[in-house]
Amino acid sequence: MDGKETIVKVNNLHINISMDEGILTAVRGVSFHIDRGETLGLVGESGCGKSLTCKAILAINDRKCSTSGEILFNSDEGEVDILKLPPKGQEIRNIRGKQISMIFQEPMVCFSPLYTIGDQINECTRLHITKDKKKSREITIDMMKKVGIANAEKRYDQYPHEFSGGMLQRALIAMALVCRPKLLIADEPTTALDVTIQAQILELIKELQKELKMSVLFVTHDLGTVARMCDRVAVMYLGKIVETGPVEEIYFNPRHPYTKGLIGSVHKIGSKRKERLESIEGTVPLAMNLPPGCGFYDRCHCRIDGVCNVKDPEPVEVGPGHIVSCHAVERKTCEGGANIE
Amino acid sequence: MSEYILEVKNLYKEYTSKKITVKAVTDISFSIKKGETVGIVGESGCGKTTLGRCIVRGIPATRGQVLYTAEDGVTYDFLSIDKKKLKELRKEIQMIFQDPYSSLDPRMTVLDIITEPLKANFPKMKRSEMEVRASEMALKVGLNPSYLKRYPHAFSGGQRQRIGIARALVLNPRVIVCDEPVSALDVSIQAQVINLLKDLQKEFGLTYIFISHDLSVVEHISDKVGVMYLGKMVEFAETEALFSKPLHPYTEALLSSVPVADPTYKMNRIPLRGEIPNPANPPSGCYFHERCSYCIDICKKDAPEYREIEEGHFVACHRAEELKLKGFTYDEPEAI
Repeated sequence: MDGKETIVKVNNLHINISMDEGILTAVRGVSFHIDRGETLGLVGESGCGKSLTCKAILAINDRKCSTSGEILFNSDEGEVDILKLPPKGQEIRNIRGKQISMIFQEPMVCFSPLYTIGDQINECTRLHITKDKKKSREITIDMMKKVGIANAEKRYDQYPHEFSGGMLQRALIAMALVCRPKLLIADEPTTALDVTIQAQILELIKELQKELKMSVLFVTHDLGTVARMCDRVAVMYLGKIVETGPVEEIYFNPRHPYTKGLIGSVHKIGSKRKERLESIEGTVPLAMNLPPGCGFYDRCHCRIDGVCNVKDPEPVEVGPGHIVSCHAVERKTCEGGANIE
Repeated sequence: MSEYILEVKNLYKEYTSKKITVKAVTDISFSIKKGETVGIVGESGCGKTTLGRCIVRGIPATRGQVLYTAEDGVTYDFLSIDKKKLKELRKEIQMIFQDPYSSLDPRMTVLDIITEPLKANFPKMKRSEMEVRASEMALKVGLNPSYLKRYPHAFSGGQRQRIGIARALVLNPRVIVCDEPVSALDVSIQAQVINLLKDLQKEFGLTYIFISHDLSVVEHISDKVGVMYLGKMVEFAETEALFSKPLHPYTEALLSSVPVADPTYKMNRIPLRGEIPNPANPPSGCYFHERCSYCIDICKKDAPEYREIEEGHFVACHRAEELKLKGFTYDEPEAI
């Protein structure tokens, strides 16, 4: 095994949701890969298809979603295409929760109020590791301690309402990590938390990642946390990845007009105070009956009429590992900073 | 005539149920000059929103004063004026709410939403006149006036927040309490709304109380910042002084955990022990002592006095004079 073992590879993923009004093209040809021990940040605004992509990897999307493409996962039993597995079959069940697990956005709604925290984490342990009650309890308590839950023996028998938001998030992380997965999907794990707790949780995920040599897919819209957590970043807009690259490249040398706008719209504390923040005009369109061409066309200040609204841009490599899909970047007509409203 | 447009003095808000009394807001005092923006930061449950609602008299405060100096230079206690006067002055202090999805009635058109404050305050105003005002406001906040006949569901989060802003502005207020106006929005939309608030402030000479948990947004928009912890104001100062030279250990810890959108930034986080205590059963002495790494004996016994240490820099900490706390430091790298 060399250093760059790919854990998961997503190829040309499409997800359509059929609704009464028509077909919503939520994810439109997403491709990325994650190596072992690496953290990939998936950034984008709400509704751009981040969460659907994550759920597709676990094959837990709604029945209304029709998915096509490939999700190749390097499982313990060799490479499998998750999309080809029956979603309720034994094979995916061996992967789900054991080899790939997920931390969801809102810890408060992820736990059932009717069972103790310990029981709920233990479900995973008993299903995948051992049927022995005493042993699985031990493993669970061990993991609860590891994520920084004080008094884990006592906390094991408590109900979710007795936990604070930060503690519940820790419990959720314990649940995700108890089977020591190869790939952790963290869907906005700290959005619902306060800054001081957020910082703790991020440090915790980083430490555990090192210890367990996990790969992490980190989904968020907060560019501050991405900067701290990720090795590489993929920026999503309207169901497509418009730019991917190493984190420094994305922050200091963004190329796609959308990425530039996104980076420019965040005020950094301590940096020189700007009178105005840069902002991207307009709003994200609804992904239904989309016109041909680039999805960002309407909001882009670099758009080339007759090109951008006709043909979808192809991904182009502009630096080592730095890939951009934009006609204007390809033709070098979009240099300089983002547009200021 | 008072130097300040709004002075909050010893404001308390307590909620009592059968046996328990929760002190949501305890002894808060601060003042704002006309045209200023005061940011209020703190973690969830610290009483920021309660404070904002008490100031606009959306909920009755337990005791305390909010001294408001009206346009003619007369100062009123906004919390104790009678109904008639309140109706007159309420126009001048308005509020923008946190969640643009639940703060607009889904069964009213945008036109109705924006003109409702006019109907309540100027019952004799003609419908046509109201419509003109509403479309003026819509233009001001960047909404297309032809959308006024639509219902809120047809709008995105950022547009809804603009509707909320138009509703607050239609009465020509002088003070606006903004309760987390951007936290429910996407980053690129947040920037739009913040720019809009700043433009409107300049145009109408508005005074803002800006409540938020996002320190970077607060730093960007505020002239002064107050930090709240468990219902108390622990520190209040000019924005720059507070960020570069905090005097309260809680502020220091808060500043050290801020995520910065820069992958080369190294965070030196000062860890806080434990969790936020239950406000129904707060600790003795200084509310922060259990989590504070500078705690000494006196902190466990006596609550520190909230006092002015340097000009305009208020803090409630026994050891504020002796501690040398770390501010927020960040050197912006040169753009590549």
